[in-house]
Amino acid sequence: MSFIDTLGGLAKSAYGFLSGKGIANSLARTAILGYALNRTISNANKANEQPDPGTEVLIDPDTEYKIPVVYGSAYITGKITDAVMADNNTTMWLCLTLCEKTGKLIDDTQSVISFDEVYFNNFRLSFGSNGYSVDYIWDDSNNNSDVWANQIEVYPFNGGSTSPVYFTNETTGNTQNAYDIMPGWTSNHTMDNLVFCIVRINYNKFKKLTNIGEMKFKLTNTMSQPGDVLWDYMTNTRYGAGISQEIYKQ
Amino acid sequence: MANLDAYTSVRTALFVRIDVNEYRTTSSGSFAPQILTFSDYDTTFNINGYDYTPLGEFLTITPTTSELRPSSNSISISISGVPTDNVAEVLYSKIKGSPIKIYRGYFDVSTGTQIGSTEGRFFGSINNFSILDELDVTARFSTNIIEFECASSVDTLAQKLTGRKTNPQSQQRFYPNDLSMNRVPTLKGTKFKFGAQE
Repeated sequence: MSFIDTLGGLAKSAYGFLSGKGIANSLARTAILGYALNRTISNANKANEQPDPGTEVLIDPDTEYKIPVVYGSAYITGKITDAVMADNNTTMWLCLTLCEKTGKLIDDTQSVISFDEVYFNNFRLSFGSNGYSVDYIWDDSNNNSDVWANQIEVYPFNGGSTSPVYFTNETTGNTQNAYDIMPGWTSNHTMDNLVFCIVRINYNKFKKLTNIGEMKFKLTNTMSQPGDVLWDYMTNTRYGAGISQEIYKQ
Repeated sequence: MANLDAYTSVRTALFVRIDVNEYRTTSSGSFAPQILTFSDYDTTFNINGYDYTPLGEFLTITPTTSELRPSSNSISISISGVPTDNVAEVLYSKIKGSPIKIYRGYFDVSTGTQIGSTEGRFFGSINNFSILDELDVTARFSTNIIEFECASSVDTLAQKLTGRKTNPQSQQRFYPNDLSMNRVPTLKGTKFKFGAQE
């Protein structure tokens, strides 16, 4: 008789004991079941205690993206030109370059580009009392939710890092320079004559905010009349034809 | 636009203005801005405070097609009878690229008075120039013909590329001290583990 036969005999005895109908047999079955359940829950808790691996976010700025010129009203997504992750990977700071700042109208007044609306993953954002922290998101049917309240901040700038502006429908807003908001920036990050936004997104997997999403802005330029537009585009030396004003007037 | 309804015949003249930013008369002289103004009219004529030297028959300007919309035609301007000593001025100055404007004026044939004001005929820049030697063997005298080839501003604009791109070179071409776009090339394709606990 080999040791295999001995082990087989023991197994049969144990099975016979567990499958018996006596109280002792029943208690033994309950104990084993309890032990198995305990092990299963313990393993599940261990899985829950694993550190959050986060979401892999691909930042893909484009070195060949030509910065557009906006006249009148337009929806624009812009391009990411800087990104910084902070606060133990839970905060993403983005710089979104939107368009060129345009010149003066024919009547010599400076054109102004305003930020009318902001969308995040096709939800329109509205802002809280400070004018730049999101309080509600709105869908196309005008339903709202505060699920992302204080999780996203949007700081608009019109013309450079030292030109913070308010959103059109807000009476307050950011007044800080962009380089005082964006981590790692200094006063040499001037963003001259650019319309752009600094965006802060907090990671929150319970609120399904785990990605940088897609942002879209509705911008309105006070330069919208054909004569003003033609004048600006023909004479601007940065993004236009650069014809001297003297020749253009002739 | 001059109203010519009341005239059975008129006389026209072309007035040329070349703005040379770096002009000098000798090879060692210093550059200075110079505005050259001349016309095929028979007397000196003043436009906007500048006297246009009458070259008469010495000046030849190739015809251009008149169109309602701006066209990209090029023209040639020939100035003949230039003394050899004066050729140096063209050679030593930086003529190429200089903006050129040609105006047309209408004049009453009988009185010689101008009808209306001068009108723009051609706006462009000098693409190239050439100098032709004209030798009269019997008279033992030589003169030169200077020919300017001019490209229309429309043609120049059609080839012009402007604007900024989202990269540091493009941004710093306009604003050399701005570092805002410096991280764009290194960020391209970068993956962040957003929310990853360490």
